[in-house]
Amino acid sequence: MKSKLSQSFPDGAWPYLFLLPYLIGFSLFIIGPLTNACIGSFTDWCLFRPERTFIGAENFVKLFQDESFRISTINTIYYVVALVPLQTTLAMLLALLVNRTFRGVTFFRNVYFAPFVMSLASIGMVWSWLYTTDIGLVNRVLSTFSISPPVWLHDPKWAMPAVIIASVWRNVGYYMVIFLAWLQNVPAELIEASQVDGATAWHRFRHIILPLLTPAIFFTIMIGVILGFQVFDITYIMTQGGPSQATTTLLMFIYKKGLTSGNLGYASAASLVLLIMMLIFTILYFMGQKKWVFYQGRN
Amino acid sequence: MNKQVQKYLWYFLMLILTLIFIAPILSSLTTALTPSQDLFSSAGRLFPGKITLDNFRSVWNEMPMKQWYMNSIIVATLYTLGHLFHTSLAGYALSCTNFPGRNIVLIVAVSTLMVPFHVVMVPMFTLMRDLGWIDKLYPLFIPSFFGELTSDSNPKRVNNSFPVA
Amino acid sequence: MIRWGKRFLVLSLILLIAVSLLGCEGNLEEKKGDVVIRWGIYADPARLEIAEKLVEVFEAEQPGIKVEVEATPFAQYYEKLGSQIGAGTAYDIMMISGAYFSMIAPEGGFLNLDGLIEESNINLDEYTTEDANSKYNGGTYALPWELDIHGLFYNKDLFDKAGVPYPDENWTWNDLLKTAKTLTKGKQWGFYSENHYPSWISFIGQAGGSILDRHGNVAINESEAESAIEFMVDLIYKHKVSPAPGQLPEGVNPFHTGTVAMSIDGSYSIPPTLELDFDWDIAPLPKERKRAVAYWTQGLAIYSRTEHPEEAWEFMEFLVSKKGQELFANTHMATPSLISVAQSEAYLASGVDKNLKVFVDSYQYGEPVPFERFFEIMRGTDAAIQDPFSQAWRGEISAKAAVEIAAENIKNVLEH
Repeated sequence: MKSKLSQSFPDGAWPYLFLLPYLIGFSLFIIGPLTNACIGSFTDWCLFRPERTFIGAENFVKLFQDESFRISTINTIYYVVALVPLQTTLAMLLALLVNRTFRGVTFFRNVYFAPFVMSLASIGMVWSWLYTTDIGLVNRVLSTFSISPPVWLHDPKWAMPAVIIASVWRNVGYYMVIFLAWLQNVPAELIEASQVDGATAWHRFRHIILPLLTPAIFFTIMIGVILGFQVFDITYIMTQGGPSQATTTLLMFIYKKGLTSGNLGYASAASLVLLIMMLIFTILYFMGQKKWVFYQGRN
Repeated sequence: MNKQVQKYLWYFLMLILTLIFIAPILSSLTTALTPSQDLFSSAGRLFPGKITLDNFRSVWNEMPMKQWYMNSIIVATLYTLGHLFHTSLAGYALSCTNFPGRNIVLIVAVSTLMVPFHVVMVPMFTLMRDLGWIDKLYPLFIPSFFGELTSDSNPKRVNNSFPVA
Repeated sequence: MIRWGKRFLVLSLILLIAVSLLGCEGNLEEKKGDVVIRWGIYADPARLEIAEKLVEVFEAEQPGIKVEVEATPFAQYYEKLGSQIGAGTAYDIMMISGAYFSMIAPEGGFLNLDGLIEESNINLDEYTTEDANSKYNGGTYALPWELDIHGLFYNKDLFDKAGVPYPDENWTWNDLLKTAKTLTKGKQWGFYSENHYPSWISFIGQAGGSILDRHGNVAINESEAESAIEFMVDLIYKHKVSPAPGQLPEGVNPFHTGTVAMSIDGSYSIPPTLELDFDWDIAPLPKERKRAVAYWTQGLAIYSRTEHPEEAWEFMEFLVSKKGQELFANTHMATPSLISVAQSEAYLASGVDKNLKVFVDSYQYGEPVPFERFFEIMRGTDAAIQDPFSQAWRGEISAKAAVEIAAENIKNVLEH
């Protein structure tokens, strides 16, 4: 006899118990500080002073008149719009490539994943050397193909692409692993059946594998965008914000204004704007999920 | 197309990609082994000319590497434990059980991904100060036993909790 | 479900054990009655050494006071300090640079030292005291500890190989250019023209210009300042005696790798430069219309909410005393602020045969870097000067255009 209560709580109190550690941490380490910071964005909160006084929306007004803020926002959007499709596609292609079972395939999978375990600081440094004019590896390779290379990290037009390339190199392995996991969930019968029916490899990919991969694509894009909006370490190390702010991202702006200049209220206002931008994206993205993401076992 | 030829083609492609992926790592290894005088000419090299262990030696001697290594090992171990602890519990609850408020928790978990650390850094510092945890290792791993703000924890949890048939 | 419960218990047990193990980290051995004060410093390896030494000597003289040195790398030092002040747990005595002095003093972060200075026999005129780094509202809140001033570092080996005479105090910009040309060949450049404020503030001063003139009007686009920037940029593109940005690996000092024969560096760079294995020395910066060299001081301040003001003051007195400054000078970590010590053997003959006298002598024509006035601009968080200058350094715009843009930007900053 299922009571009404046990119908709305089919698993009893267990889920809540299991979520308890997470919820404790969530309130202590996330919501608490976050609210503090949000309130701070409406004050003249300063790094070197314990008290802060309410100043209303002054920080936000200043923010929208700030040229640096505009530049950082555009740079960040540029970064995300270029990085996410690139790394998603490449990760998917790589996963398709290594989705074989021959001896040594694990070696290749590890190699492609290896950059992801390097610390961003070392990646930034190594790549900034690779991009050195004339003697850096990148330009040396390019000149053997008779391409005259740009100055990369000191050219406002090429600094961001340089950073994006380094980011793709780093991230692709991680998303490849995710795609690989989903690829290996493709039921073998479907593949066999299509082969029996005489489908070409491209046909197989387009109509069987791709739809089944949509959850992985969904996830990769979502995480890619959210993490992309928060890019900091790699631009900080490689270009320190870039030739004439070409690689200054939103988070760098927040860091500089907040922790270097000490203007925490202003920085919190900027982070609130960043947060809202990401929230809007996520909500719209999730709402559009039904249109193209296909989960196995559902209609 | 001949199956054998195909196989070798794929192999070849993977090797080329390996080179591309390895090149930066190899380059940094080379630079680490190069004496500082030759740094200018070796920035683009894949393999070192003159090899020296001086760089490693001076880093080891000048910086408190032993302390740092110990710290890293302690923190990494405990952090991983804590992480597994709370994400496996939460992931299980979110993906294998059903309860009112499940979707809200999911959405909330994803949204915490969006909060960059620098935003909460100063309030966190104040919190740690109130707990008396400044200058100790605790803040580096204790939050990992509960929920905390890292950009990597949530993707795994969310991936685990994606609707499974 | 029971299996989960067991795992839960086991995990919590592990957690408890781990936490308790870590809680037993070594605690400071304190004798009862000892006062412990915390000293915040930047974490340069040379500075850590001298800090230990100073603490040792001080604690021997003053039993009953123990000093705990807390070193943080410069890049994070002020972040950490800011959080600590915000949380009320700042160091009792701390290093403070000019830039941040002007941010913290108005917020009441420092202890007023007027009374203490009067009672002691410290005469601020004997130090390289800057009002901007020590005075606020008429009161003194920080004492100078070290002078960071610049000179022309040159690679003697490269000079000898080319048979060129060393730089001297009669050098003008032309001499610098001529010598740099002789020393530029193959993969080697004569001079490192850097888009870094110690360099261009010095050159602008030497041309007779400044960022702001005496009346507080923007002067960075006047012909004097413009000529300085033009000279620096021409060294790269017109005379080709200096590498351009991006031509050399980032983060590596080209002087240290022997890639450039001359470069502008500071009195704070002596210990790392000593480790190089070629012969080098320091010369005064060249003069043009007049002599000028950029500098700033690092000071010491006491936290306004310290629980041990007397002990912190005792330590501060020691650090700026003749003895403390001599110990500091012996390590040539930087130029000591007590001028008599800077001019004495303790600094000049401190075991290295480098011409440290250059730093001491050039103080008379020093140009203080206007950190307190243009904090954000100098630190780079406001790109008012950095953007146009880096465009000029990349050869994208002329020096004239660069200083015009910089002047516009500074005017905007001043108007707000």
